[in-house]
Amino acid sequence: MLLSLNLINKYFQYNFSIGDVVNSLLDIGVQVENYYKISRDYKNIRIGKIVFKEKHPNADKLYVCKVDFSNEILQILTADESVEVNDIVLVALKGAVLEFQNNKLVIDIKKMKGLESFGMMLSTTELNWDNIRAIGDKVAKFNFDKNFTNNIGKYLNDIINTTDYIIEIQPFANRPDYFGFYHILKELSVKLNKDLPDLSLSDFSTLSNEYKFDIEILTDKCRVYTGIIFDNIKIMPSNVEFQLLLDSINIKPINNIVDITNFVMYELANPLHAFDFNFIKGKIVVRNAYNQELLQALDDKDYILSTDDIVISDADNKVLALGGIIGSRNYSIFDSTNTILLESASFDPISIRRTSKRLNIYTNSSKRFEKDIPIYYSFLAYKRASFLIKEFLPDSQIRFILSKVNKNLKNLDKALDLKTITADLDKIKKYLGFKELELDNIKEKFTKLGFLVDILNNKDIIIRTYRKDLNYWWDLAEEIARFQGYNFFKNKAINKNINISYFKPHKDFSLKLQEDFKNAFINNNFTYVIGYNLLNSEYLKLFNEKYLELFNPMSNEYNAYRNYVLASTLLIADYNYKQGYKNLKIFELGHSYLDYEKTELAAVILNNNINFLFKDSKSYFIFNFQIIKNIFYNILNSYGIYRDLIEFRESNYKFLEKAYDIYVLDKKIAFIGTINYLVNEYIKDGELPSYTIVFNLNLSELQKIIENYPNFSIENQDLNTKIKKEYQLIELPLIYRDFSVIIDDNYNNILFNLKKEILEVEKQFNNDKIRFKIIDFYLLDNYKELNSFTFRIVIKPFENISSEKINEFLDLYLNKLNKNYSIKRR
Amino acid sequence: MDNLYTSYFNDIENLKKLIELKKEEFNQKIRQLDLLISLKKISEAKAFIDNLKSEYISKKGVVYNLLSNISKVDNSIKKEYGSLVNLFKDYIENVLKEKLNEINIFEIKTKYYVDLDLSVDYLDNFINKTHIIDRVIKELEDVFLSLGFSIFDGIEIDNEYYNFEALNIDKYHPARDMWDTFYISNNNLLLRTHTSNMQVRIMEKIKPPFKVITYGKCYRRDNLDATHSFQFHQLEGFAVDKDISFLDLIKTLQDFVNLMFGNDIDIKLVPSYFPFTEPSAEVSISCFLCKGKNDNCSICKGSGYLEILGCGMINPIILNNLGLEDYTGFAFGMGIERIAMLKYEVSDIRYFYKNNLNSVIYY
Repeated sequence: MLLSLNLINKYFQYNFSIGDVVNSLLDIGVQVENYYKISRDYKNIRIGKIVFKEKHPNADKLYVCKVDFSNEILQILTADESVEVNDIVLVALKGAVLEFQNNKLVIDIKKMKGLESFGMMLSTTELNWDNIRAIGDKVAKFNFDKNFTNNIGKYLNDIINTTDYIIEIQPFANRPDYFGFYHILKELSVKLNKDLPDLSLSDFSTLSNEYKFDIEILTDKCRVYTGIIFDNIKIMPSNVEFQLLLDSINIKPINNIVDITNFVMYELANPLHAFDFNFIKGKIVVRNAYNQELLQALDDKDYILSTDDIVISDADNKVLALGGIIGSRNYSIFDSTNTILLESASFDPISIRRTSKRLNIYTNSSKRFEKDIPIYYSFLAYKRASFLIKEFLPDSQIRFILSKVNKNLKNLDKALDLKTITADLDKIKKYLGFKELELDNIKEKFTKLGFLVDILNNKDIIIRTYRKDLNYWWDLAEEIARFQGYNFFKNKAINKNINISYFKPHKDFSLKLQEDFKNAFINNNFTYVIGYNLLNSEYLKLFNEKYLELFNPMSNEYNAYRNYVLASTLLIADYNYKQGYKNLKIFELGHSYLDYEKTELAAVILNNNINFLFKDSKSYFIFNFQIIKNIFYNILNSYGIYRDLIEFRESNYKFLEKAYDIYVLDKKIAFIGTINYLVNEYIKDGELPSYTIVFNLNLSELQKIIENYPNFSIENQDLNTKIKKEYQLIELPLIYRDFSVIIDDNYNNILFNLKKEILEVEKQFNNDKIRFKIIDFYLLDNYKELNSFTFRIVIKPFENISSEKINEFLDLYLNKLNKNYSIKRR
Repeated sequence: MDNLYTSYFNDIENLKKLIELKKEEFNQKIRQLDLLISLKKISEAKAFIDNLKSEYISKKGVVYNLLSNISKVDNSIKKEYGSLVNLFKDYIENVLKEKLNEINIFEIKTKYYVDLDLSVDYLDNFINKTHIIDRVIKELEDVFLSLGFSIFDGIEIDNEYYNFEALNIDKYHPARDMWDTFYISNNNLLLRTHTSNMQVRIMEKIKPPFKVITYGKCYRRDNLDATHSFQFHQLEGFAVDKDISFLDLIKTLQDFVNLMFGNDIDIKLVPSYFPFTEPSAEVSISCFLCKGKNDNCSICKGSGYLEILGCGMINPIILNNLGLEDYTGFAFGMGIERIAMLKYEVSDIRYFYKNNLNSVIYY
């Protein structure tokens, strides 16, 4: 949406500077994308009227004209035979400089075949007016004004604005009314504190309908349809000044009627359309399109419609227009048109959006209707357009007008009516932190915005408005803040104390765990990388057949959400390897999705020193494996999970040559291995060497294990008291107890179960009088052939505990083992 | 000499002389050995010792020769003869043992320590580096923790309800165009378009009053170029309490900006629009590089201000839906890449995900 500074000043009848306007727009929250100056210079170009024309006596293709410039009549020669006496033309006289299409032409008095020419009659080309319409192919005959005779002899520079500023704005989605220039001016009038004169509208009170004509609305997608029939219309180019204005705000001039409909759309946001009435039979029918119905549109393309689309039709069922989007080229305004039907309607925004998206037609009209323009604006628009038509074409006559409202629509009355919003001043004051807010101030501003304002009980503000974005009292609070200026609040905030309760900050355990691993890997010389979560689905199949496929990807390269974080990390490793990093250790922390969304850590280790340092790849693997193992041991130990609960089991992966799974408390949480040849086949031009070690850890799963582990509790841990008591009693010696057990058959999970049970018994046994803690529990011996294990438990007492008590505890534990797992003491 | 060799059987003095002679001969050879050792000819020295062993103390060696002749010796001096020869034998054995030991130590020294070069990286030559995004997140965490905010984790794959509807963006809301969304095939999930999806999720979990931040990756269907990426990080913050006002929001943001960018940094607010905040604002900070004084500033391009975040009062509709009618709150969100690009002058957002270990995004 483009705004012209000249137009703004014309409406305000005032001279605001570009700075005033841009800053005010920014202050009230209109997004100014850009603004720029345009300047035109038409030195020594004058408006003249041809008063005489004859053939050049010495040249076949030249004509001699006399052109009246009011104070003088000059002889001008031309090659255009179409010029006629009484034509109004633009003439470049001596001293004029024309620059067009890379030509530079300096005009002087010139002799042509014996006769002098004092200047040159111009076409739109020499003026660089590519979009301006005029009559005549070569010399352009312009429409300057309805009272154009007044302009004869005037210099072009004096009658048009030679400079202007164009401001490009981007309306927010909640402000479709900003697509109407006049609605923006209303807001500017509050900010600039300058009254905005009302728009001139036609008054239809004294009209009698002369034609027999009807409008039928057969679809719920049309809310309101107003048709107005004008007689005695003469189609011609709009006057030059108006055309130049339209051109500068990116509306292409067509002819006087279309230009008016486009300008009113620009002014008031509601699109209008004009038909040649002579094509319309009997009535206007607004209906859903038939399947496969054809539209031959104004953009010279043909469209196949579907039943979702809105069609403007007549008694003959012709497609006159695709409602709210584009007209038919067969029934629009032609040069010969003398009767028009002006349409001002309101359509369902969702339908407009769907149709224009499906058919890929985006017009000024569809762009507005899909934003949901208030229905009320359609009434304003036809009144304004009628006024302008009457003003531009004084001979035109309004013969008929009918507004049809769709009766099937629920809540239509609400949409048509003014909306009432009540706000409590005290609430607004509190919400904004603005105690000094005054009622009078609010009332003044709201009135200028065009609201109807009432004040009740000296504190309740009641406003009525058509605007869509205002519904609740807090919306009014925003209006008050906007027009007060946000910088006002900023200055107030400087000395303010924050009005929020204090509490101890919390950090999610998952984030703490991620941080533990991140720090550990960084401390072990890994570099932290961040890859794309979206990858190619064919590549992801290397890791797992399952992955999340995107419904609407942008390209094949990024068409699925990764199933393992490792998928991204491997690509980064390959990229850097190709860049010359033959040694690297990288890791990534992020999300992936396999059955559920999980947080994972993936690492890749590449060490080219392998031959130099290690005599075989086995010791190389073990060395790197040990680093990751130590990280595990250290972190899990800090959460009370000791190393005997972590297991490494050989495993098999499609993409790994040698692989191990890592189990914690018998749950698989990670894998580690060296890659095989398949990896380079799946990576585009993959070059990763065979000694690449990869690691992928499911942190979400690990988090669950830690949180459910009996030794661990996030919420109920009162660290202070716990540490205090433990330190006080640190002098007491640790107690060791060894015991051997015989296990029937199944060795699996035995360590985990033994440990889990002892911690539970410990919990059960501890009370106020006896308190101790199992601080270690490990395997001393393991005789597989005898099915026997020997364990040692290390007990840290917090009191003096007799050995009977310890034995009692052990008995309880062993009984439980016997009962639950048939484990016997040897 | 002949006399000496033939007469030592019965003349103890001759024997002594002979042994002295042999000792001298042996010591000369040891000096040769020392020379070899000093020349670091370890294997030759070892062979030399082996030769000396066979020459002197083997079954055919000098010492055994003397011992085997004991039968020919007069009984009167037999005892003395034996002890002299044995002393000689001990001497040779001790010297050889000493020398062998010396060679071994020398060998170990030359083999394992002599060329020790501590500047060589035997294990790996990696320097741990972190990604700028990680560094900025850490900074932001520290700042918001010090402002009393709690930190919550988030999820990236969510449904339409939490990403849109719960935030007052219904299905046909025109604002839905603002976030061009990636949807997942065959189910109702989507990739979150902003971290605001966590707003209602967290508010369902905890009771006010609270001040919370959450951050992570978000996705929008933007083509990759220097300033757009379909994947980016956001940080979201929000606070809910009784009587939180617009002024509290502005004060909090001013504090945040001062802690993050410096005490002399000013903020500027202009009205904006988000369906989930009312009123809404776009916040810019004064340029921390040129302080608005350089028209060709590489960061602010002469405007003097840098847009960094969007914010507003949480739309009461959202709080009312959660049964928090008596509360008000504010929320704000910022692009982490944007902050990293400004603060560390990274010119292209794609660098963050290219992960070239040589690039500026690593320290």
